[in-house]
Amino acid sequence: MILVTGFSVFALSDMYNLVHFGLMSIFAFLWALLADLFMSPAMLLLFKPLGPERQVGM
Amino acid sequence: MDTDRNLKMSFTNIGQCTNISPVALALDGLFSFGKNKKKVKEKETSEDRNDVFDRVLKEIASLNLRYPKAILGIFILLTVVSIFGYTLIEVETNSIEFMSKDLPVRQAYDYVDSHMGGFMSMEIMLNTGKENGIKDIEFLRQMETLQNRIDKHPLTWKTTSVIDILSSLEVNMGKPSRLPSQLSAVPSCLLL
Repeated sequence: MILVTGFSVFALSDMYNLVHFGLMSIFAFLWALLADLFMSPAMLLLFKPLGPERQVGM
Repeated sequence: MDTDRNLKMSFTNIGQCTNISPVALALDGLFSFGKNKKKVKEKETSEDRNDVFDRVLKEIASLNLRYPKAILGIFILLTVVSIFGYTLIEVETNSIEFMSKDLPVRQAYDYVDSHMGGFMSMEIMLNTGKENGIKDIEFLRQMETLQNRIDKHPLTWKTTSVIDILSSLEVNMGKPSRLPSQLSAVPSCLLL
């Protein structure tokens, strides 16, 4: 979210290329955050790359 | 120049140093807010904490556990949409077009571009494939054909080439043709 806030400054520029760069960066950072929070756990649950679930002894 | 640059860099460094100190102090103060002064239980588990971040993370975890296939499907769909978006990317090489239309320089550019010949010019260089090929009358005729063809393009405002220099010389010398009629006349016309 800090990166999104920082790159949002580009949206105030008079140069369209910088505005587009800022918006694309914001979009990418937001989707990266959402992917970290949602897609990665979903993939771990579905594909189980670390093997089957094990009962950990207390 | 070096002194000026060094002075600017010094000011930048001083600015960064003066920024770091308040930020460091402010962060300490910021993190101290909400600090529980009571002694934290040693065996406190995540179940015991219930602040806003914990609640959000628990909701996210709950969603992940309930709908993993739907979430993965949404992201696959987004990937497909992103790949489609790549095909819509346009490459713009004219840096003036990057500027906002509210800027005076862009408005001046638009005016000149729409009412006059425009700012941009294209240069075409032809390789004759041999030494002093420019003196070849046949090559010049082909170049004239190319120039006439480019002239007919709707976006072409004006074309200029060595043909125009030769023809103006010929006309000034009272000859009706655009190109010198004799091969030997080309070098003299071009002052070669």
